[in-house]
Amino acid sequence: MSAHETVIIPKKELPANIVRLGWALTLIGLALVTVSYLTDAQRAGFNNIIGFTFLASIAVGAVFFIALEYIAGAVWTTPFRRVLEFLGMLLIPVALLAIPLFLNLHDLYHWTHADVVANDKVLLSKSPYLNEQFFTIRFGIYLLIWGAFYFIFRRNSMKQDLNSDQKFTKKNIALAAAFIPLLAISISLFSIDWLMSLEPHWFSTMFGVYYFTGTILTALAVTTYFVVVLSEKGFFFKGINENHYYSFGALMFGLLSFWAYIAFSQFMLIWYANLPEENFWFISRWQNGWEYVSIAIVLLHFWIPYFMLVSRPSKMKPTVLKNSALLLIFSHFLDLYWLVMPTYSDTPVFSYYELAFPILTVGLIIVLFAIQAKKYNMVPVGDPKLQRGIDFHL
Amino acid sequence: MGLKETKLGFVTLAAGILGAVGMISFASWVAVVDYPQVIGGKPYWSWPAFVPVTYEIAVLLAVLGTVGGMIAFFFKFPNTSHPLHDTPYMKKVSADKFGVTIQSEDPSFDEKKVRDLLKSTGGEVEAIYYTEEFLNFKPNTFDPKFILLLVGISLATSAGGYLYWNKLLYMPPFDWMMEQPRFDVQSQTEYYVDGHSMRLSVAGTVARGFLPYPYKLGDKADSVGKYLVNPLLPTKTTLDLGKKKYLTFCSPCHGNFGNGDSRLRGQFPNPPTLHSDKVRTWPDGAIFHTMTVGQNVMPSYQYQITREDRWAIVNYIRTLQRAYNAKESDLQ
Repeated sequence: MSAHETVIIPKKELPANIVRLGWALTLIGLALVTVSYLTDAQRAGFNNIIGFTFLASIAVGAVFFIALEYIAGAVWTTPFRRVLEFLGMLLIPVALLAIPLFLNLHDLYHWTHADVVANDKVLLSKSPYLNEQFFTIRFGIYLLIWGAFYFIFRRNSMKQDLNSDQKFTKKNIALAAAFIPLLAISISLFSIDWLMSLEPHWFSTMFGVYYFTGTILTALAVTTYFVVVLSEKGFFFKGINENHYYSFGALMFGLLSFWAYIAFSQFMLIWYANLPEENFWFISRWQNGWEYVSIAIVLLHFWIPYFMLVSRPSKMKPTVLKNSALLLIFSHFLDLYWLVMPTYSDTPVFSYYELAFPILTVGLIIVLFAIQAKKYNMVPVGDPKLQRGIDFHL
Repeated sequence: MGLKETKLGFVTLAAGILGAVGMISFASWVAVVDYPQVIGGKPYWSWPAFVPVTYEIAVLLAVLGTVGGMIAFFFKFPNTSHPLHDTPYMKKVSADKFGVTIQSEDPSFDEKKVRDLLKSTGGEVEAIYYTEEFLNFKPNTFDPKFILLLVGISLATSAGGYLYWNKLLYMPPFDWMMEQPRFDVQSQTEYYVDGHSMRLSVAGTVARGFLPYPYKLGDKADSVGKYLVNPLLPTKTTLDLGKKKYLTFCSPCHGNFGNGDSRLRGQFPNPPTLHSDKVRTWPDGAIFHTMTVGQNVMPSYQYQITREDRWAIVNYIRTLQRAYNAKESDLQ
């Protein structure tokens, strides 16, 4: 039952004013980042971690969803896979944003000070893992894993546009099977390296899953936002239906519930055992004003989007999807702020330092998307699953 | 077909909210009002601990409510499915037949014409159903078959329960655990003249290793203390034993070092320090006596800690006292 004259719009550039906005945000962001690094390198560094892990969330989450589509044989995401493939390009700014962090590692990470480690039994026993050489090597390995798989997935997908050969899909399925376990390990270790080791005495075995869940949720929210907005503006194809929207909404709903489950489990286990070597992390996030940030995360990251998306009709409404996606993107930023900043300051702080990286990241997302939308097809026209994806019905 | 979007979701929501609110109220009532207990030093109303069970009950009630609501409101119990399911049409459709939906609201609709049209294509028309009769069906609550079923179920469960609890359990071979060739506690027997099934021990029987303790609560610790002699030498073995027992039984109130500064400070009358001149000049036996019979708020520990362990604790307390009031010679 092929749909009545599906009109696929394979390639359409983003409007010029959006591209200009993207460039403007990028340049303003870069200027603010430079100013903040010149005035207070430590504070800029902590914000750099937030922006860096935020971009890594979107980039790696996008690669994860590409792999997931292949390995699960999903069809409903196929028409929109290019959005994910474009977003994966954010791996490049991730690598670039790591450079200032490596230059300021001593300001940010307590365990990089050899004299501190030598006098600290806990850090000394962790030092075979937490040392600068191994830390750098590990980051290189993560980038290699993510980047290599991403570029091969993407290259196969782009080549398929030319000749519609199914062998590229098969290749990508095999690659996806190899990639997913590697991703599970690398993203967990990445979060442990860059976020958990900010408090090197603290540990939580759930932390990797916590960051991973936030990662894929954010990548999905960004994708959903792009898909809804671009569809409304007449990209992709004519006749995107509520089944596509519903699938995005349902997946987002499921993932945000999963995030709440993980976040609460991590909190409850530490709260219940109440061991001093674990609970200080939550205590420092429940005093001096941080408690309001904590409550805001519970509301903005779970309850509000939960009730926005809970009913079936609301998962099909483009406006609800757009708003909840934006809300979730913001909450992930807030979540990272909440993970990182208590190490820097006892009270929540907000000024242009904190604005620099959000502006930069949003600008980068738009710019990188626009550059690729200009060059490549927005719809994988050669994918054998494309028509089924367009005709998708629940 | 004129079917509207189902309203079942609201039943699910209502049941889920009922489950969540009910469970959190129940858990709060149990933990705060009915059986308050301090667990892990946390307040009675420790809501994070209620979240998992609240979540589970909310999901459970939502699921049961959905199934129950579907049967009760939408199938109109005692119907257990939509009546369309009971037609021969549903048994065959998607096996070797398929269904066609035709709008009968259409003014030009004519059943005969439709039948002829379908036949003319070489098909075979089994039956035509109108959705009206299925959308407005009534529950047949007083259907004799349903009444009979209810009566049958009640009779079967009551009869089965009666037979199981009152007959089957007393029939061999199911009475294995019920009837055993032994006497229960405090049961009577005709075998012995005195009627006791349990034999009493011979008068004056003493357990192995038992030593009577001649003093009681109220005897002055320092006056009875001089008659009790510590049988243990302060060797490493006894001090390690004493430390272990001290940290287990004494430290919750007296503190890890005997200063009376434990984490329970303020919740009970505070125990005095063990480093006072009074305790330091007591004979070993006085400390032993205090542990054995208790003093003020402190209960007797003679049933929790063996005699030997109590003497080991005495040695350990002596070590603590010495550490706090070291002599010149100790520092060399």
